Amino acid sequence: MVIEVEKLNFSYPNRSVLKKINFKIEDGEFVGLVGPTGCGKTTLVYCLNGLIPNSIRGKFSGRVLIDGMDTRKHKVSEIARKVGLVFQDPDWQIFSLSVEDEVAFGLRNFGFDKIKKRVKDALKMVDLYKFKNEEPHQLSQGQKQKLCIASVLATDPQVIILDEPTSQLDYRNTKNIHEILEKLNKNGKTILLIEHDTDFLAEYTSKMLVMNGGSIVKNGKTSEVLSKNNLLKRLGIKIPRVVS
Amino acid sequence: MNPKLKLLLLIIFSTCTLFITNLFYMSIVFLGVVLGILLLKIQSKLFEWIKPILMICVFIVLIQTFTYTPIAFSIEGLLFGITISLRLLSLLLVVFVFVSTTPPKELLEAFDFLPNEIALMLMLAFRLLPLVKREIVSIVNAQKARGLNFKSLNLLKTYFPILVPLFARTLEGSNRMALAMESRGFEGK
Repeated sequence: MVIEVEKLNFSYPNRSVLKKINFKIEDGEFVGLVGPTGCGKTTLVYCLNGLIPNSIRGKFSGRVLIDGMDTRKHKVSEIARKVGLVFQDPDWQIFSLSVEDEVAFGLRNFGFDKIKKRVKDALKMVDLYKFKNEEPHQLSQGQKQKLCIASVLATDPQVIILDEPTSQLDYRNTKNIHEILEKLNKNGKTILLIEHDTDFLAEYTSKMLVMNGGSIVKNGKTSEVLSKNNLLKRLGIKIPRVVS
Repeated sequence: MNPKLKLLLLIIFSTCTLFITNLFYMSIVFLGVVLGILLLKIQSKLFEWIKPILMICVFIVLIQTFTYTPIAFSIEGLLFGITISLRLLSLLLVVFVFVSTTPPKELLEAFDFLPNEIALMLMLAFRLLPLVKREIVSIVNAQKARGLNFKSLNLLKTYFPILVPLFARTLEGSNRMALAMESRGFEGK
């Protein structure tokens, strides 16, 4: 079991966000997480890489285990070694002045060796190696998102979590990112993807979690979850073409 | 040119400029810097760079002209005002040359003698500049679309609807950036 969440509750000082969350993710699974805007998806993924409760203040109860490590008892940097998180907006998660430095940032912090080789491999994986000396803010939005993925890939985490990585991208870039994720999963990475494109989720994920109002309202095999037409309609989630 | 050498030259030039009090020599220095800019062909953004300071220079010249000898026009005051303004412009232009000819990464290398925390702060500041600029453009456009009148003389009424969302967005974004750094193993050391 790589991720185990038990009776997780979390409230920010002024509002309750997560309520009684329970789920498990096995090693190598590709899991989709869907739900209406503001239902707590991003807060949930912050709990999975230890940002909550270690860096973000609030009332936390329950337990999150990552490969057996309790997130309350380990630093974010220790959990981040196992769980890589790609945030939603690429602009605010790129902080270096060259593409190469951006990818090397995590590697240096985690004390990796052969940094140059790892940077090269990660950039090649997302087809950005030719831009290694460019300034990140000069890249297109799709390239920036790929850079964020490469930065996480370089540190070789067991689990990769992506928070709506394609929300600002056109069809071609979205397809490109999806292909990268598919390849990563085939190479054995566990992936948790927050995504609105249920067509993609229907095709590639093995399992899905549906959130609403801070709770997991459905958890099961993708085919089983996507067959719940009424639930998806009620939550405003697009019913994939294979089902409709 | 090595960025550290460039930085050293910038410091030497700036220090020397502060000691020049003669209008003739100051004019030569100023014209030299302008000539340098023209030779380097980097003048395209020059006006944008010096525009805010031009008003200040005019103000300095006027103040000096009428206060050098108490409340009366004086040629000495006028010349002194022009000298100070040329000094200010020369300093600004030489910083412009430095920034325009040094990519941010090299700029940061010039400061690598500083402690890690300060170097990181500088890196983030350079990184934030294009982001803040983009936010300003997007907020200004959004407010224009909603009918905000930029020609209004009430500065508070004009700039308040820009500054408030700008601060809110920048703070929120910086917070997200800090979380992203932490997620990649950064522990503030």
